[in-house]
Amino acid sequence: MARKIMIAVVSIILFLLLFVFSERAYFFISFLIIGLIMLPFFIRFEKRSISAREVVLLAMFIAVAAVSRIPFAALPSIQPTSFIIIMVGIGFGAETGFIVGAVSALVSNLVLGQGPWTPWQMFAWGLMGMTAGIMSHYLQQRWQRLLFGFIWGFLFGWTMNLWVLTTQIDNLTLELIIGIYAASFVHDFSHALSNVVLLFIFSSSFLMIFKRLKRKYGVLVNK
Amino acid sequence: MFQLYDVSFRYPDANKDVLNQLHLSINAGEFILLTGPSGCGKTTLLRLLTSVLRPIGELSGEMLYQNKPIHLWSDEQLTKQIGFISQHPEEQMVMPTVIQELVFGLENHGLSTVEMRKRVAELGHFFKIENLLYKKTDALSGGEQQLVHLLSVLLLRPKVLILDEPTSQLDPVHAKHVLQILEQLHHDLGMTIIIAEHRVDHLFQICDRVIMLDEGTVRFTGNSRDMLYQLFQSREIKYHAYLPDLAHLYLEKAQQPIKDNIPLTVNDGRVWLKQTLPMRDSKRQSRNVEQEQPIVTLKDVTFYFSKNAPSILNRLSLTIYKGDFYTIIGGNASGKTTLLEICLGIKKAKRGRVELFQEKPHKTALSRVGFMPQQPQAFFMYDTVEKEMQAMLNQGDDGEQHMIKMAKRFNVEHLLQQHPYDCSYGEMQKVVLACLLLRQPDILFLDEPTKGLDPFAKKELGRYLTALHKEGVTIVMVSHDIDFIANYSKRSGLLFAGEVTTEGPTHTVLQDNYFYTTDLSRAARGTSLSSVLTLEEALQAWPEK
Amino acid sequence: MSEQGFLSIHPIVQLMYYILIGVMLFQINHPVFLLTTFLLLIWIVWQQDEGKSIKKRLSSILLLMGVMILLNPLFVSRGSHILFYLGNRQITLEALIYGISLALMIGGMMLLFISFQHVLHGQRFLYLFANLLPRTALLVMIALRFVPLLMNRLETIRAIQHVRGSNKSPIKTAMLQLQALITWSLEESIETADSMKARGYGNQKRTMYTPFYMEKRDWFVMIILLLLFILCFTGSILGYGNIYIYPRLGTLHFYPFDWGMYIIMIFLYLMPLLIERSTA
Ligand SMILES: Nc1ncnc2c1ncn2[C@@H]1O[C@H](COP(=O)(O)OP(=O)(O)OP(=O)(O)O)[C@@H](O)[C@H]1O
Ligand SMILES: Nc1ncnc2c1ncn2[C@@H]1O[C@H](COP(=O)(O)OP(=O)(O)OP(=O)(O)O)[C@@H](O)[C@H]1O
Ligand SMILES: [Mg+2]
Ligand SMILES: [Mg+2]
Repeated sequence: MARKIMIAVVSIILFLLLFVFSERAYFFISFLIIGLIMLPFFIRFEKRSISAREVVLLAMFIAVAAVSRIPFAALPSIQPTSFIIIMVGIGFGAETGFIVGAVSALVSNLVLGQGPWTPWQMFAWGLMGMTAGIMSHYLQQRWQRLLFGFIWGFLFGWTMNLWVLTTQIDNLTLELIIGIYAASFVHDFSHALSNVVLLFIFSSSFLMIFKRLKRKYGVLVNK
Repeated sequence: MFQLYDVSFRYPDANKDVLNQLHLSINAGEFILLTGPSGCGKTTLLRLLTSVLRPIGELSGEMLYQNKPIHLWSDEQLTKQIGFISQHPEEQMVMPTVIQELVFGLENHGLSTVEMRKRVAELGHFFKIENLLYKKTDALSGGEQQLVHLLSVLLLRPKVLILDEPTSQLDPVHAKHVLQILEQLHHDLGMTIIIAEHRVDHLFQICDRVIMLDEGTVRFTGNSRDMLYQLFQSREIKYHAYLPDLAHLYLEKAQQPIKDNIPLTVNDGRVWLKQTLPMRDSKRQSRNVEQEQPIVTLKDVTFYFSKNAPSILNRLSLTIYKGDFYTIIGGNASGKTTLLEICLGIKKAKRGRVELFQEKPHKTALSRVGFMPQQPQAFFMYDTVEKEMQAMLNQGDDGEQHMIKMAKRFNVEHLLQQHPYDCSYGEMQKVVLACLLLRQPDILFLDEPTKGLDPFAKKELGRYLTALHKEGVTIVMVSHDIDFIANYSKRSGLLFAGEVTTEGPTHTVLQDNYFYTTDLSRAARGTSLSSVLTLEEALQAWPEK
Repeated sequence: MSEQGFLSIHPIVQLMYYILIGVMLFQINHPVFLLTTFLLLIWIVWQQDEGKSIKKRLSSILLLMGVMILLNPLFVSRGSHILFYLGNRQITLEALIYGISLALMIGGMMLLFISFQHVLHGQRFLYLFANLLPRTALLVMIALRFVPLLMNRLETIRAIQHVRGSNKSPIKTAMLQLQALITWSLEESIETADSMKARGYGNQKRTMYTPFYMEKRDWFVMIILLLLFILCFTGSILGYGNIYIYPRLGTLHFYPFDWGMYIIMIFLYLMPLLIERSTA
């Protein structure tokens, strides 16, 4: 009972806040909007019937994505997390791709430190996994995967730039927008390149691993 | 409790049945030991009994649980009544903290908080784990993890407990603790317990009935003494590996072995030996290994993971010479693996000096070293055994042939095209050994090579190691398998509190201990066999009339 | 439970504290207010784990804030107090102040998350989110359990590769390690799943082991929190604690009501430490 009252109180407060715009409210509202966009995916995940094996497998991918930076400590420009999320999307479909992408962001930030960008990261990685799943049919050739990874290197950065923009609503000028996107170019390009390199060398062998897994244990067969 | 009629089972791609027309009936309140060589279908049978975890495949025949076909029971009922525990404590943990892990099953069954609190309080007290409740699960030792898991299953108040090699990862002390708890559950609560194990010595003392499977059928069954007697009578040598040394000695040497007098406990053995042997205390002189050329030298090595945590190794000194067969004996979490990793330069000692081939461990020194990890899985990088072996070949020399020869030597040539993970545990180990030997190392480091092996495979491993040692390979092993050490290792050191406390020829180190010694030696104390550790020695030293 | 002070308060009240001070961070843009909150948060986080996480993370937070403060005036040339020209770009005081207040807010948010993570982890986190998204919360929990497990395994794999030796490029070596980790872990994860299933996962709706009750003290803390918050929030809507930045910087001067709000805000932020004191 107490719990229900609490939840009601908290949500009423949040709701009222929406009516009391202050300058920074955009920033705050962008949180809510991102949350609302992602909510249906999570609700779908909650409602779907799912076996213990699938839950554990998802958790395992999320954990792998979170620790995947460790072996690359000496190679700071390589971003294996995106690679893994893309591969999971291709291998196990859009819904799995989204959940793994979004929750990976949350979990790896629990290790690296959360910030106001976490929801945006969840969103961007979630979409990355989801689109990989949706398009998995067109990603069977290696060059297609390379192209996909290259594009997403930029899309990811651009989505994160949107987050930067929400902090700058009162400041917003065309100049600023161009400046931010230009400034992130090098970083985005290296992300894209890292995706391409990893996908080039390893995407085929990862698909083999997934295939073996599906055959041996009959889990998460792509519908 | 369970009745099986004509049960056969076949895995999807397999060409023969794993279980073959099995007839079996298990009564309520029985303590059953299931044993048999690796691959005989123990795990398959246990999983079929749980029904919830039944593997994919073709099942025929009839299985009754409490007189009702098992497939008519709901999963919910079955998971409440049948608890299952497997051999890897680490993989069975699903939650970050102990308390969450404990209540996980209760939450799944929709119990109320009040009920959960009651059960946790009661059993937590019984198991004395109050101080663990809020720890992180990955901070527990293997033994503690297995206890926590056992408790988390018992909280559901099952009627049947099914355990698949629950102690294979544990040292003798932890293993005994788990088995004692099982014995208590059986005695006090009348719980039905079905346990599959390779380490049978202690279980023979406490179980009501032994079932030995081989090739998917029941080979022997009966109470422990029946079973031992039948095993001994059978012509097949591979079954003799299952006999505990004391019982084996009795059956070999007693004038008229009587089934009901077969010694199961150390005490039984002592009584028998005292009656038959002259009372005389003999000390045996053991030879020393020629100690010439040190290969591994550790001097005053200290190691800790973080400044405020206790040191794992504490001013430890150790020298291993060329031609040694050296074993470091120690319990779970005593730092054995850490010690090996320090010898190999994988972990850097915080203080002290480490030398491998009389220099700092580095790349060229490591090329003369073979290292078999505790989990052989960690060794594999490729998707077939063949690729795995090819990766170990040096460029140039006639690799292929060398490889085939090595595969033949270890009897793994039929596995070459297989994925390494599809091999059984013992096969994986043999593959790793074969891979390591392709580099012709001067020294082999083995981390717990015997765990999870059936007695026969253990003998086989012992033979391989002895042969290698004869060829001049220096072997360093860490282990807590006392029988294996007594049989094969030449020198040993006891790792305790971060130091090698006792060191010397294996015989000297193991003699006169209370716990770190073989059952045989404990039973024979004070008789003319008092210097004997292993069955082989006992048979040789047996006084002829 | 063995925890005391703020850690022992009901999770919902804790969550409320973080939401409320998070909202206040958004609501205020006066640099002095924000600097104060930033310092208060550093203090709070320091108290929570004796400075462990502050020592680890503060430098990276300050770096990020520094970059934001520097970049803002470089990119934005709005405002009327021109400090100087860089090339033909005007660097304005307004943009600088905006950058500072933005940086303080983001830095404050990061500290807030550190504290949040310290207080609301494990069972508490699960308790809060299990009502909304039970399966997702469970998924996060299991993933969190796997992270240290995988790190250990990775270490083992790297150790063995080190001894095995290889002459492959660093990127290939790293990826082979990752691949080995995935193959191994996926293989073993089946056993984890079986242990879940054998304990009845997936048969019916899960309940939750909740060691939490709303006590009188929790209600009391909650009401105080809400009161302080409403005062602060009303103040901020009326414009206290806020300054005009664009197009022309207003005054940073504190009016009497600003002082009042400033003090109330400090109390709001300090709630965890006050509770710590009162129960000690
Ligand atoms: N999923 C599977 N698919 C195909 N074959 C399998 C599978 N699991 C086991 N087998 C085969 O079935 C046989 C029996 O396996 P099982 O695991 O039951 O043996 P076990 O007696 O438990 O052995 P161990 O003592 O090594 O644990 C083995 O030959 C094994 O190779
Ligand atoms: N990466 C790590 N960080 C912190 N502590 C660790 C780490 N690895 C191991 N330890 C701790 O160091 C101690 C020794 O570990 P180690 O693996 O060497 O033990 P072990 O003797 O090999 O045990 P086992 O018989 O279970 O294999 C244990 O208490 C373990 O919890
Ligand atoms: Mg088995
Ligand atoms: Mg070890």
